[in-house]
Formats: sequence, structure tokens, C-alpha cells
Amino acid sequence: MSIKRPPLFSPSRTVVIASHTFTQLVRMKVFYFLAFFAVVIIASNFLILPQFAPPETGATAVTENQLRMLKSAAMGTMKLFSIIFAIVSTALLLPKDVEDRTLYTILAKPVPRLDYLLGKLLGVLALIFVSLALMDLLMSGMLAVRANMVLASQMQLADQLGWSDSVRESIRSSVAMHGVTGSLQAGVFAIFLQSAVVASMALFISTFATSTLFTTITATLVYFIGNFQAEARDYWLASPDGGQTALAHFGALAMALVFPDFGLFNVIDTAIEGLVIPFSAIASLTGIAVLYTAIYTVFSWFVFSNKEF
Amino acid sequence: MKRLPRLPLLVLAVLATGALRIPLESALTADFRSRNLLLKPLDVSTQAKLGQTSAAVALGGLRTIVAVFQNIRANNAFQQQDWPRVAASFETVTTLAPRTLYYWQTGGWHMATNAASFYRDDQTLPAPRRAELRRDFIRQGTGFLQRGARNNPQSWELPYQIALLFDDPAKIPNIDEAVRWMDLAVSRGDGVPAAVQRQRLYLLARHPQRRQQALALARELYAEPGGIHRVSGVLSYLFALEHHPDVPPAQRRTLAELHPNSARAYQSLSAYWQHRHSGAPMDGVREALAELELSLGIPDDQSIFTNQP
Repeated sequence: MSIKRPPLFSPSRTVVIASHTFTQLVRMKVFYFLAFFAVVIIASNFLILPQFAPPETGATAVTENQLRMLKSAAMGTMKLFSIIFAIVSTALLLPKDVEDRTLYTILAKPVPRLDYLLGKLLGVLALIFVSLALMDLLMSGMLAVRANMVLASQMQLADQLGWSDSVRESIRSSVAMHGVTGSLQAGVFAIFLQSAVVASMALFISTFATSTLFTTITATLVYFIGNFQAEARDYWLASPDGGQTALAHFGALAMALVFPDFGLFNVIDTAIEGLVIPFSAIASLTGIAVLYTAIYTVFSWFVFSNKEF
Repeated sequence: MKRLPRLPLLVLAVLATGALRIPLESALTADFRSRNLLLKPLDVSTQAKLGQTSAAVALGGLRTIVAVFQNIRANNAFQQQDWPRVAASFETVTTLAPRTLYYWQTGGWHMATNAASFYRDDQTLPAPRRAELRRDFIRQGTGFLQRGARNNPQSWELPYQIALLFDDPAKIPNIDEAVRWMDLAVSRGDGVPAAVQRQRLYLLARHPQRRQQALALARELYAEPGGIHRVSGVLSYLFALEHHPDVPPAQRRTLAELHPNSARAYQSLSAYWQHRHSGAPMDGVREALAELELSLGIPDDQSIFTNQP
């Protein structure tokens, strides 16, 4: 009698593992971070630092800057949280499953290792997504309130000083540009995409890492190096015949070949500055993030499939 | 069959996928940079100025947040009237966030106006040194704004601010430069406020070689549908420009055509008369005011000519 082999990949099994991972992470009280985030957002909303602007820019320049500060603090905290979370939680997952012996129970069953890895990754991504969505909701709510307050005070001033309709319209559009916009949401999505790549990269490292600490430190370093991978790549592309020294030339090439380009995801600065992120740019970013994640998942599987426990 | 060694295979796979990624990443980076979605990489000198922690945060993809904190630092320096530190801080801020007009506008204003006025009045310094420092800061501020205008080719705000600086008699006035920058401001898109277009008229009218152009512009603004430019300044400039001896009398508008009644005409022209030392054209203004005073029965002791400042 022949033994029926399980399929290489089963979406339902992956979803079960992903939901278990999500629950496992929620039990680590990760959402407590949201309370900290709420404090940061509320505090930055009330913290009105002295701001100065030339008289010809009008009062809007100062108020725009206050909205920009609120967005900066919120988006920065969101990015920091999602990157740290992507690295640390992914680094923790495999060693924790080994320590709890959950891994042995799962792998003893006809569960392909690809399902297990994908389930773990999707669980982490689901948690990052939910956390970012909650933080985004909080930030957007606070920003909308603040933008309305700013607009109301500007319109009151316009009434007092008898400003023309064109000036009022320019104030409205300028405040709207720094309020809750589609670009701001696109910026939050770019943070999620970057976190997905970081998590898949950390998962790959954790498949051959000797400890959680090693994975965390290495993934953090890779993240930082990845933020200026573009410079190394440009250097190499600009000097294909060797550049200044052969060592620098091959060093730049090695860096471009090994590390992902995390700098691409820094379009969030565009959203903070109130500029437009086109849909095509987000589509391209999604494409490259899916490519990175797929590559790192395949690599993780390649190493993990042969690992003995 | 002998199994292939996994580590060399993995290394090969990493390099091969890297080689496939590079053209994609390179094209996407170039595309994002050309669409102004990504900022230029930070140079070494800026990283050194930021200090290790801020540089790490900026390199980690949070440049706008570092810019916000550097801006707060610049504001503190302004409150302490530490002008070299103000200038240095704004240089750093604008390197971090070159697309935020507020930083360019505020930095330029601090240098060209606040620092320059401070040194002009600083009695602790000998007069030649005061004059030198005042000039240096005006030039520094103007240069700073010009760099901002080059970095933000879509902005009308920065060329407008530069034009006002060159037009300011308390700075280093240069009517040619003022007109050149105002022309540039007006040429930058449809979002230029009506007041800036009128400001261009006032500048052109004061330029000895551009009065013909000023007359054409004044007539164009006057004829604008909806009469949005029919404000006191435009009406007075139009009146004076049309009363130049070169303009045939048949082509001149009378005060009755320009204003609803004599009282409004007098109010408008007498305000304009106050600017007679600024180089504004005054053809026909004195005579018109004298006639209006006569027709309105304004006593001699209340005459605009008796109460000349």
C-alpha cells in the first residue's frame, strides 16, 4: 500500500498556523504598545511648541507645520513599532516553538515545512497589519480633529481680517493637504510593506541562526544597511570598470547583491510632507515587496526543510 | 545519488536573485527620484552634523522626523539669538527635508531679516563690523532661499520671498533681481495667488525699463473677469501709468471710469501718493488729487499736500 504524501502547500493549513501564531503573539501583550502610541499621539497634539514663520507666508505656515509635526511623530512611531515588531517577533517564533516543543508536535504530523513557515510569517504580518490599522485609525482621527481646529481658527481670522475668497480657498486646500489624505494612508501601507519584507528577511535569518539575539542583531543590521543599499548599487553601476579601488567596487557589488533596498519604502517622507504618492508608485512598491518576501520565504524553506530538530 | 551541498547552493541563489533584483531596484529608485518621491541620499557632512543618534535615525528611513527635531533646535537657537547656529541648523533641516517649503522660508527669513536686523542694531560691535555682518546675513539668507527655489521648481512661494527681499529698501535692494524673481514666481503654475500677480505689477511699474510692460499688465489685470484685481493699488497704478506723457490721452481712463465716486477715488489716490518716494509712477496723480480736493471741498489744513509725511 502506498503512503499518500501531503500536498506541498495547503492554504487551509497555513491559515490555521497563521491564526495560531497571531493568537500566540497577542498573548504576549503586544497590543499594550497601542496605549503608548495613544499617549504619543495625544501628547504631540497638545504639545504646541513655539513656531515662527516669515510674515509673507501667513499664519498657515505655522499651523501646517504643527500638523506636519503630528504626522511625523505618529508615522515615525508606527514605523519604529512595525520594524521592531517584525524583527523581534519573527526572531522569537522558531526558538519559542522549539522551547515549547510545539514545533515537534507540528512537524510530526503531515505538515509540510513550507506551510509551517508561511503560517508563521502570515501570523506576524496579520498582527502588524492589525496594529498598523489601529494606529492609523488613531492618527487619522486625531489629525482630522486637529486639522478642523486649525481650519476653524484660520477661518475665524479670515472673517476678522476680511480675507478674500481666494485666500480662504488656499488656506482650505493647504490644511486639507496636511490633514487625512489618501497619500497618508499610502504611506502607512508602505510601512506595512516594508515590515513584511523585514519579517520575511528575519525569518530567513532565524532558520540558520543559533539564537534569538543573533537573529535580532543581524536583522537590525541588515535593515540599516538595506537603507543605503541604493547608494552602494549606484556606486557600482556608475563605475562598472572598477571605480576607485577594486575592493570598493566589489564591496559595493556584494552589498547590492546581498541586501534588499529598504530605501525604496521611504516614500513615507512624501506623505508626511503633504505631497501626493501616486497609486502607480504604491503598486510598484507592492510588487517589489511581494518579490522580496517570496525570495526570502523560499530561502527560509530551503534551509528549514533540511534542518534537524 | 549524492546530494548537492546546500550552503554553496544557497549563496549562489542569494547572488543570483540579487543580480535579478538590481535592475528592478535601480529602475524603481530612478523612477521614484524623478517623481520626487524619494529624497537624495544624505551626504557625509550632514551625517556628521546630525550626530550619531540622529544620523542613525535618519539613515533608518525617518528623515522627516529628524528634520522636525532639528527645526525645534533651530527655533531654540533663534530664541537665544545665536544666529550662526540658526543658519547651521536650517542648513541641516533643509538637507533632511528639502521639499518642505516652510523650512526654507523660515530659515531664509531668520538669516536675511532677523539676523541682519540684530547685527545692524548690535551696539557691542564697531560700526563697520555691524554693517559687514548685516550684509553677510542678508546675502546668506538670499542665497539660502535661492537654493530652496532651485530645489523646489514647482514653488512660487520661494521666488516670491526672494523678490520681496530684493525689493526691500532695508536690505540690499536690486529692482532688476526683484523683477526677475517675481516673474519666476508668477510663471510657476496656476496656484499663484491674485495678490502675487498684483505685486508683480507694482514691481514692474517701479522698474524704469519695464513701464510699458507694467501698463500692459495693469490693463490686463483691470480687464480680468469678475474684477478680482480692481483693488485700490491696481487702480492707482493703472491711472498713473496711463497718464505717462507717452500714452495718448484718448487711451487714458478717467478717475470716474476707475472709481464709483470721487470720495473713493480720493481715498485710493491719496494712499498711493504716500508711496511717491518708492519709485512708483506718479504721472497725473498730483493734479488729480488737487482737483479732487477742490471738488470734495477738503480744507487746506486737511489736504494731503499739507499733511505730507
